[in-house]
Amino acid sequence: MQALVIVAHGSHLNPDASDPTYAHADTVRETGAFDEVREAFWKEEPHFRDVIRTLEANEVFVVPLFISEGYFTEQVIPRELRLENWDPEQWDSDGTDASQATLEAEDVDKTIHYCGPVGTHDAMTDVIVQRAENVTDDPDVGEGVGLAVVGHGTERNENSAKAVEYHTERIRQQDRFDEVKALFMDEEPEVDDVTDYFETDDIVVVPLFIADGYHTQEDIPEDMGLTEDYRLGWSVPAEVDGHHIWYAGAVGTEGLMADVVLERAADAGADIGGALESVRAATASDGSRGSDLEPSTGAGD
Amino acid sequence: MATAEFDFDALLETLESQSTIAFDGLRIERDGETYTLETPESEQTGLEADDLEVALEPRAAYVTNWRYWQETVGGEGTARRAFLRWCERAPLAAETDADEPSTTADESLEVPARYDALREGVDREWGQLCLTARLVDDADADDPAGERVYDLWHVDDADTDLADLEVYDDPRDARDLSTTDDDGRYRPLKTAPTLVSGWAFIGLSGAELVEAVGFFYPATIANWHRELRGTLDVDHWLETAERQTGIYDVIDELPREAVEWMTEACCVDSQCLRRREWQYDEGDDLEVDGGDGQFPCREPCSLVVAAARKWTVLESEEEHTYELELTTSELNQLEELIDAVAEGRTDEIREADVYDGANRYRARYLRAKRFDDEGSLEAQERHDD
Repeated sequence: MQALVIVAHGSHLNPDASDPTYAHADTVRETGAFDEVREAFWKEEPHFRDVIRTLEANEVFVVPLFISEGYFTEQVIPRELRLENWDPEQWDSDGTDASQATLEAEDVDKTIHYCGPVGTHDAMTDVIVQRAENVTDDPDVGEGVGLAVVGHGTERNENSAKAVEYHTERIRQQDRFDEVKALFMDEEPEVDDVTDYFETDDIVVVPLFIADGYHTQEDIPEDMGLTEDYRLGWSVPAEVDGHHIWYAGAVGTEGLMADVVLERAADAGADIGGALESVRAATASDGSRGSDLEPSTGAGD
Repeated sequence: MATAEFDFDALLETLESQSTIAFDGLRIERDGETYTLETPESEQTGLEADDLEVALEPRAAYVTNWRYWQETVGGEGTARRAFLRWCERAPLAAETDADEPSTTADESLEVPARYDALREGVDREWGQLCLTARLVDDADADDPAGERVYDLWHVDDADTDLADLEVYDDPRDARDLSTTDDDGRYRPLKTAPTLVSGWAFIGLSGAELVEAVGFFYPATIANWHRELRGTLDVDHWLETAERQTGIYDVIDELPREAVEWMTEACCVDSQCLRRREWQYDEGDDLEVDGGDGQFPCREPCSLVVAAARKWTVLESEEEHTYELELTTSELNQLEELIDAVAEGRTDEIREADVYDGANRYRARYLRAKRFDDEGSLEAQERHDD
């Protein structure tokens, strides 16, 4: 038997924070690729601490629904899962290369494949592009359009910016959009000045965040000038300095994220049969769960 | 040949491969071509196959019970199996590693009594959940005899007509049902006693029941099972606090007496249905009662950890002596206000009930009288020098 555990941050204050986690877990459940699928959280239940013991399977694939390698994926999650002899060196990563490490946990007799975060997987590049397709309602979006991938920046962790730049470069190499830029909330180049960085009239802005919350639904829309007050909402596209800004919510809410979760587990040796194909069919551009642009309130914690 | 009650051929096949069936009071041994049948009511030896079938007719419940647990449920040694056995008051001793019968064994039912009870439905409570195990009563060809189904609803709805409840069949619906309380407020603590009522899950399989309970009260079954087997791994306050890093690194500085106040504030039955098993430290128990919950709490949860961070900061402040002018009734009113908030009863205080110190008009009056222009209590810090 094999089990999949999707580990995410969750929230004590915002009930929507866990929605993407449940949505992607459900998509994986529908494929039947795993005997058991569980969600686990730092701030909700089941907690990381208790999740593995709820499984009957002996082979467990843990996929962090986090954007970058850093404090949570390297310290908090392995510690709380009680992974024996864990060392971030086992990922042998320079910030965006983590694949998986095979470990045991102190409190259960199981083999645990601890995977790198979804945010740095190559398949994430496709999710960002699909997000751009969905927000513009144009499956061929690219020509004459600029794409901004927005990250948090280096506040706590330099790998956060690396992940944003990694996907930005990969999309740039596809030669699909006229311009592709990485922008940040708390470092240069800043998302506040988004229109300064693009020549194109149309700019698609995709935040590389897992869940919608304070940053994606309050900070970024106001900082970019999409709206004076996030509570009033904003148009898609919105006019800013003569540009049309197509702003999507957090990329982590995109249905295709389930594909990245599955790829992480498959890279770690999970037998997922034809699950990838069925997920891709189910979450093709028109099937996105994530294009609900109603502003929501609540901080991420 | 199959009888109406059970598949005798399947039983014989099992006896071919393992020569003995011993389960829940039923014991059948094969010795070559003859069989010994033993139940608590009788023992027959030297039975030919045909005699065995006849002898089993009046004891069909033992056979269908064996089939249900070995084939439908399976999962020997799992929490799922133990929980489902607990649901119908089946003996749990076999599910524990302990030699002595478990503490719940005294109320467990042997097969004939259990089948009588299952025809009516066996009710159990798990936090605010009411679980009913019952035998499938229709003679549907798809369901072998002895198959159980499970119903799940809120304890407050025990006497509510099913027609008045919203009926669900997908365990995942438990996630939405448990997200907010009656006032629509988010429930970050799944085991808070604020689960909404008005819904029911009917006819779940055992696996579905366990899944639904797992969404209402995550990991409670796994930890209950560990406790049952004597393997619950409790992490006490100090261990948990010292493990923290980042913004929670400070919480191991929370004074011991503050940990008492914290557990009294957060971890008692009125706030959380888990039974707190963790203490200040191994061999250093907290005075506050851990509660009577059905399932254990094995370590401080993330809400307690987050709140502890706030209290650690607050407790690092020095105490001062303040002077402020209050009548005796106003002092009493302050106590009533704190009490009303702490008990969560501010919503219950009637608009015109000015006899309650926590009434809104009473609070507004006190504020108008005793607050200064900056909106603070007119209190003077006293310096004794």
